[in-house]
Amino acid sequence: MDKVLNSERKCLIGWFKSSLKVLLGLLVEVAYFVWLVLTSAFLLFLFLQFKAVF
Amino acid sequence: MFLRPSQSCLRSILYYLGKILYLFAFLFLIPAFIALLFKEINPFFDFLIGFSVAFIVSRLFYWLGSEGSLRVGDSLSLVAILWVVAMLLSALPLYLSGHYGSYLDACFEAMSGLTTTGLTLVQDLDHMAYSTNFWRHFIMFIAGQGIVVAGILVFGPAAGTLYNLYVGEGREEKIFPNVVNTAKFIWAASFVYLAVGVFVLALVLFFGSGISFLLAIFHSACLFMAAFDTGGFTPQSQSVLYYHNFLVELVTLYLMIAGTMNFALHFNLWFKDKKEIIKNIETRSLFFTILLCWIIVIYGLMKPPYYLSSFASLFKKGFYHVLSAHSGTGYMTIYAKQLATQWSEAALIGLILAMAFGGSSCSTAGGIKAIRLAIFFKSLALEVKKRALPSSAIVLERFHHFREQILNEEIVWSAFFITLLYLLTYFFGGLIGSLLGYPFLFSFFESVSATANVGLSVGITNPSMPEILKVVYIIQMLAGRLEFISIISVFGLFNAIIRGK
Amino acid sequence: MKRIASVLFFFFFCFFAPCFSVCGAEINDLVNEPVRWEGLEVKVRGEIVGDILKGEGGSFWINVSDGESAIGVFLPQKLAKNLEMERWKGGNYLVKGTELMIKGVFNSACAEHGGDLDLHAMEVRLIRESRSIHHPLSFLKVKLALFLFFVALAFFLFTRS
Repeated sequence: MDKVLNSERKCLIGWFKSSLKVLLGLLVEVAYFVWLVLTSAFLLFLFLQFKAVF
Repeated sequence: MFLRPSQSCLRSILYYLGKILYLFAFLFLIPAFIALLFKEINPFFDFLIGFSVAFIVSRLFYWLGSEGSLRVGDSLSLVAILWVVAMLLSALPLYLSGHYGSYLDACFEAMSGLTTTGLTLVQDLDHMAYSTNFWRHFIMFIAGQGIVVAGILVFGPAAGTLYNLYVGEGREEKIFPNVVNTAKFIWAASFVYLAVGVFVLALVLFFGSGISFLLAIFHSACLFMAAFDTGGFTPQSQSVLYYHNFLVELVTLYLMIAGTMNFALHFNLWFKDKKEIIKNIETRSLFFTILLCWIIVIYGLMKPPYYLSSFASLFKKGFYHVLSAHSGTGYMTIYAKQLATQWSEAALIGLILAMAFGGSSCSTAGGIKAIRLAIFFKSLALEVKKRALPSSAIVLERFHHFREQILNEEIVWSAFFITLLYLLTYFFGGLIGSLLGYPFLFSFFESVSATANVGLSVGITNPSMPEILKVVYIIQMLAGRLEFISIISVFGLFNAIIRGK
Repeated sequence: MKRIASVLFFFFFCFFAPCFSVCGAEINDLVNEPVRWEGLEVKVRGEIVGDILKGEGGSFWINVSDGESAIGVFLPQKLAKNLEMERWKGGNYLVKGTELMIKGVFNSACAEHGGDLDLHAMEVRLIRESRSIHHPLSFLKVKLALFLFFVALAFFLFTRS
């Protein structure tokens, strides 16, 4: 009985781990997106400054 | 001299065509169920008719054909034929809904949906039945991942020449050595995103905009399917502007980026190496081309006729459309006529460049693709290096695309060939548009939008446009989606049938 | 003298009338020629489509369509609280939405709303209540659907082996 429970628990932990991994991967994708948005906002900011100078 | 394809060869084409369409037929039942859910009687029968016709056609092909092996060329042309038949079938319920001027319009819409383009010829969209509206978005979701990819999943290892079919749909990436597993992962990733995306969008629409629960689910499902598959249809006629909600724009913006990423990259980030996103040549290339197009667009928006004044509005409008164009989605937060009258030519050129570049390979985006641009620049660097070093030196150029690769003739040549075909098609469509009396810049914009499966429009695409242009755009959309090879194979096949011995 | 004055007044009125009155416009014109109507006070008539959407701080957004094009109309909180909005219904497949006459300021790039093209309502009048759209059951479709369905079934049974 204990063996069965143990294997079930292992299975659950494995599932949990892999879904955590996927979530982490998703977070990395979001980070790429945020980085892209921030860089382009910065570019726009620079551009506006540049325009104000001339 | 051509060899005429044998009887058994043609019969096996029919056999596989029937087999994949068999799956396609059952997809008609999902909107039929939604029609019952929303108590829409006439659309229910539209989908029943669609289902029956698709079923009969697939069964007929299946019955006439017989199992056999396919040569590479035949399986590639099979994909192109499959897409045309799928267009004719999925246009049926659209046409029966009465929202389209002619069957050609419905076919245009269906092809636009299947290739995840997003140009639309629908009339009175705001009064369209929910089920029909769902179908428009649903075909994007199915065909965005790939009709064949869907077929592979269901029929599995039964078909022997699966890989060629997979390549025919413009996919070369093998995430797993086995195509079946690759297809499985593509669908698994899409469903993970479907769950997350619909959940977040539904929350935003339900709490942020106060749309009723069922409709919030409906809207978010439609928006998700069109954004993640970089399609570009929306459930209402004003595109994303309908929601007047900044969060909706932000979430769709993110989904577009996620949709334009390579499925193999998703796999790597989820299960293998998180650093792939920094190392991969495609994400780097995407990053730089997006910034390049963004600089051109802001420069263009600073030129008269400037109409955007504040930082926030410049960013919101400019960046949204750059990403929408670059990822091949085609969501708009302005009206088509505003692009034509209020955006300067420089800004339009920035958008055209973004559309022409397109997203990653093995994603749902269209266009030339980031990897080919990267290869182009790498080979340029190689040439420069060669000139700088003595002729006896051996120079190599490496790039990282899931593994370290060395640039060789074959890779460069195939990238150049496809890029050239894209450029020619862009130009050719623009030429036809301008022959029909539209300004060249506008017709070029629309042509690039169709070929790269984007869906941004300057207003040329409307139900009263010349019929010939509709046909041209349909061909362009299909050619751009299948990356030409399959279309060339079809010509080869017909040539062999007519002139072969 | 009186006649001359009246004639003069008439001409004066003809020339300057557009300045005083609110321009009646079609939504389709607004959307297709945004530059021409920029910042003007316009009066449009159309049907609400889709949902009535919540905005920030008690304001609302509605989308009004004239059958060809639709435009977003911003209802500020001050105006919205005096309207009987619970009686309004947006158009969809089964409903022809409430018809409204809206007077407001047209912006092709509203500074307040991040550069959106919109209409800021100042006065809203109800023209016609919403009504349901009847879609008569097309018997041809039903017959065709059933016929094809049975053909498909028969064909399936015929080719099953």
